[in-house]
Amino acid sequence: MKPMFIISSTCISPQNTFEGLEGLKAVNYPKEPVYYCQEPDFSKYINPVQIRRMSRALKMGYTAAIDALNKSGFTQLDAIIIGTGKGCMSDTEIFLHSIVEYQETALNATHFIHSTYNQLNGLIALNKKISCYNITYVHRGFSLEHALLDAALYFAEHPQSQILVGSFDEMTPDHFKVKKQWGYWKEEPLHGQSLLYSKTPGTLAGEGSAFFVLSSEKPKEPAVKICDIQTLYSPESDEVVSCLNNLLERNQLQKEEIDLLMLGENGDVNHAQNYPMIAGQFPEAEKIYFKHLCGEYDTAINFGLWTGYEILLKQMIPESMQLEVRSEKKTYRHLLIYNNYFGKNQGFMLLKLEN
Amino acid sequence: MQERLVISGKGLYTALGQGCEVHFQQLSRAQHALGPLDFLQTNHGKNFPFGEIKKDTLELLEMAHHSHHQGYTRTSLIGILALEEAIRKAGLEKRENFRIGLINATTVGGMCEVEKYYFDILDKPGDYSQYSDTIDCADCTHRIADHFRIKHFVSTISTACSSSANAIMLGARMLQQDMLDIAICGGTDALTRFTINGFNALKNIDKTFCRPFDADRNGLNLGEGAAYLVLEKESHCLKRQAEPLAYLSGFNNYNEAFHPTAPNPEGEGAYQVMKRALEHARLNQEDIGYINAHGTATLTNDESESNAMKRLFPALPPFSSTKCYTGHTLAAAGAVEACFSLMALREQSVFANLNFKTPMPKLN
Repeated sequence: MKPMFIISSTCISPQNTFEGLEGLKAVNYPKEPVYYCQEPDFSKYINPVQIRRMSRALKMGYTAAIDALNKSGFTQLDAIIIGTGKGCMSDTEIFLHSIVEYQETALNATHFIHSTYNQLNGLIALNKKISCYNITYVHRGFSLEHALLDAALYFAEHPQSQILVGSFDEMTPDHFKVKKQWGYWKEEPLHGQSLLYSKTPGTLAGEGSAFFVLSSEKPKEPAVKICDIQTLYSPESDEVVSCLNNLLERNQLQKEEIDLLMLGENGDVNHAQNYPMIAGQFPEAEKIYFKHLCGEYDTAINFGLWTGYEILLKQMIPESMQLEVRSEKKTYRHLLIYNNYFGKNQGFMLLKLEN
Repeated sequence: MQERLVISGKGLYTALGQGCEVHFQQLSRAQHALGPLDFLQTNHGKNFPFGEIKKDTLELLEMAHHSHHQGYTRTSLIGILALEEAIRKAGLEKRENFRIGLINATTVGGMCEVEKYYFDILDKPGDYSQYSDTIDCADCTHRIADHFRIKHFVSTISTACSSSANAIMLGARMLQQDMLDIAICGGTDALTRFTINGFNALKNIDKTFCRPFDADRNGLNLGEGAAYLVLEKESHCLKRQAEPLAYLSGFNNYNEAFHPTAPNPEGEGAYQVMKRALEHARLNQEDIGYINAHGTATLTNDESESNAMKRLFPALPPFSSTKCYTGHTLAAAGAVEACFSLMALREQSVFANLNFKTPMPKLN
């Protein structure tokens, strides 16, 4: 895979990540088994006419995208590539509801338009006057991974490019209840790392958006690059291990060279089995966890990728992300993320700090 | 110089029928398949013509050899039935150890089932568990992948009416970067109350048969369908002794950043993608023998596309829209019409643009 450097990024999540990694020093936990995002001042990014019509998902996604773009200093892009598992869920629900309520007459098209998955892609392009390659991946726990893979393909075809990649997903009160019926969530919120030890079915619901401006050229200062991404559809455990070995081999890495192992463990005992197996492959690496801070959602990996990037760049791990804090301090160079979205969507992402 | 990509299989299921042969027959005879709804429950079933597949979901289940109560939605089933033909035609029943990718496209996914009961789940008792995950776009892709035991790469794209065209492009690009041996690309969308009411709210649906490129056109007709292409490198196709149907030599994706739902009347987006696709294919305007236009028959779309074609082609080749046969099949449209274009190439015939009487005055 063509490596890609992260030039800038922004994350809106249930924690105060909009202000950067420092925001994870004081952690918020939910009262119900569902996390909702801490919202920045959207009005600084969106004009008053548009903002009234936009759902939370659109506001969060748009603000994260524009903030990341602003930080990069780029005014033009060669590609806008977005992943989302559910798109603007609240618009979908409102339109569904109005079909029933108004018996299929006199409906407002706005929520229908906003329910289309590529709505955010179009809005960014339109407002920023950026005409370019523009695409939306809507594949549950692979949505962001495949958006990033497409970016890597694009860099292989057009090396001198600047690409905006990101993802967004929102949880709504109704969708939370619907998925609760099917046993996705725990009965009570388990705070902090106790979620990871729970040994019961279900997890906490979450939401969030993170965007990244990518380039194939290394910036002058130290920078983090995404070296590899591998998705695994419904893999057996042995396939996960052989995929991991292949990934390390093609990146010419020994297991000891992985300094940080980030695990997408979400406390759901039904989908926990591969995590200890992967962790066991890397006895030397420090283990980091993130879903007890953002909840589980289709594109929760965006919280992992954003924190992973920040940790490598700042060489600092927020205490809330570790089960055990190690005393010796070393340089963190390679970070590997393993994520498992309810068994069917699993995968790895490899990040590297380059000085 | 990159190796050439070939299309080695295609599969189709729309209101015109199941399979490529029946589609070619109907298209050649200028027989469309639009009419009132028989199966989908909506107040609009008799208000507009639709391209509905005339099988109920139970029949489709039987045809796909799946049993009831296992959560197979109409979107998944027509996808399975179209993809089955593509795999058979490509001679891929025996796959050896090929790295096969399924790149699917949909706009509604399992909405065709979810819309019937979504709010009932919250307050009415009943067993809805078979449809627990069908609300998103990935559900139908997972179902189709599992049916054909495709695992190496499985993805879904949803970019409204360009979805399956984008799926074909991703497959081609992954083949060129040697990430796959075989890419099966296309899309599937069932008719839903959700989309019918959405397009009706946009005031985009014609109460009569749609009239692409006609001066008096008054909107689109909605349809349902699925279509898939099998793509691979030429050497890979020849090595496994399969028949290349056509080369895929150029493509492009471009957002014109003009308006949330309406195209630029000058056709900037369509002009740019056609121009760039020709450049990618290293072809000139005069090399093009037929244009299968998107041609939805909405006021703005057809004006925009006509202008784009006039701008790009000094001598305009024959063009037509085939939406008047199947209705607009949304995410499937790109792949459906890629299959029609393959037939046009293979059989050297151009399909009539039905219901066209009066040229647009500004365009001659």
